[in-house]
Amino acid sequence: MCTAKTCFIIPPHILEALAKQGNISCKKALNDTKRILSERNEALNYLLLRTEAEKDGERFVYDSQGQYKQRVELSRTEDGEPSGDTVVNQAFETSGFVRDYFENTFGLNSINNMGMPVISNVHYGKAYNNAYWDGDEMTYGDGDGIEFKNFASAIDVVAHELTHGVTQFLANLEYEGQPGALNEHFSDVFATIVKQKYFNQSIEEADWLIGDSIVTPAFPGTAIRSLKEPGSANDFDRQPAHMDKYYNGPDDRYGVHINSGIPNRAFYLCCQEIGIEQASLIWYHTLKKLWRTSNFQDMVDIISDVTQKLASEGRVSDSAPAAVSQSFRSVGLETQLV
Amino acid sequence: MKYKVIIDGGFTGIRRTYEGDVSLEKEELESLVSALKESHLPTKPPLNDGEQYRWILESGEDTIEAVFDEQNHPPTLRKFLDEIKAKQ
Ligand SMILES: [Zn+2]
Repeated sequence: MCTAKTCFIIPPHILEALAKQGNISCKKALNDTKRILSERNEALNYLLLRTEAEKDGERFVYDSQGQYKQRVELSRTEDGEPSGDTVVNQAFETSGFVRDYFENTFGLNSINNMGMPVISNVHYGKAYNNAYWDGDEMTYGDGDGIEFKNFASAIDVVAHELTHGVTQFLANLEYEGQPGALNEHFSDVFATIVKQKYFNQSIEEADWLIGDSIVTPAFPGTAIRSLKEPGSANDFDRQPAHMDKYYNGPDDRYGVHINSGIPNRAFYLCCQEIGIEQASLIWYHTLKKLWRTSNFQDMVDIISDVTQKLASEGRVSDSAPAAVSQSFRSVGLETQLV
Repeated sequence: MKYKVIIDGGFTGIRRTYEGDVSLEKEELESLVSALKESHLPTKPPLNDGEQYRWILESGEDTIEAVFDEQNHPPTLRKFLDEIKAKQ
């Protein structure tokens, strides 16, 4: 049974059904153990750095010095002098821009809304073509210099990784299958929004690409992903733009970076109808309502509900609910709520 | 010794495969085999955008296969992989 504050032992499918109906305590129960582990790690890390009263999302940039290790050398702090290393300064600046976007737009106090430090590691590994979020901090490779460039300098890559942190604390979407694809989707959505803010672009001027600035001319494509045309960003891009082409295989943790193309396309279409400001508000409030095992159908049902509520409060336009529904219908997803 | 390394996942989501045939000193081969036999069960929830490394080594009659995550990829294997990549 769920009361206002407590969930007892209830099968996950029932918790999910209750969470879908808006039961916050059930959603919290679903997001349970991994979040507790993450928060404990965060708390332990934080205690090493600052006192409890001073939490305000301060930035720390570490240099991995080409090793496969994090926190090798602290190179820049919030109030410290700029580093002599351009990549350190880029990671500092871009992570601050993303942190400030979430705070200024949604009132979020850093990644976890509790002032968690924003920690970046740069120069990780040798010719490392990747960036990741590990539950506590971000880590960036320099790229191989042949097909990829430094990952920490790209505002969309940094926004993508930092949004994984926000998602972890708001919904803790598990990183596999459809919940994993939604996790990737939200990272690409806020990467795109932040990138357009960073470059002060309108939706007409924007390219809707992710990772265009980390690929070299030798790379066989223009970017890593495209929200406008999933599957078109490069020769390896397997993203579908519609449920008709849904990937059912085991690669990439059952397609987390593949099937995210489907909701990504819906987001792009929705922005064309109601603009990116309203869309960002709808997507953020939807993320807050999702839970660890949410699938695409849950997403469509929740976003429909959230949009109706925001429209009834006058926070988005009256046309927004129909625009959201039509965008998802266009990619083969339809709400089952009546 | 024949090797094949498949890197899956990561921010780019682009799967990459490295394969070839190299002759190694006995000690170096033993070190690789030993690293492949290390416990490789994930110890944490998967990293967001972490890569997965599938290793297949064939030496004589033996074939050894193992999968590692970013968190538990043994340094010996990382070093060997960096050397392979540098030669390409
Ligand atoms: Zn990601």
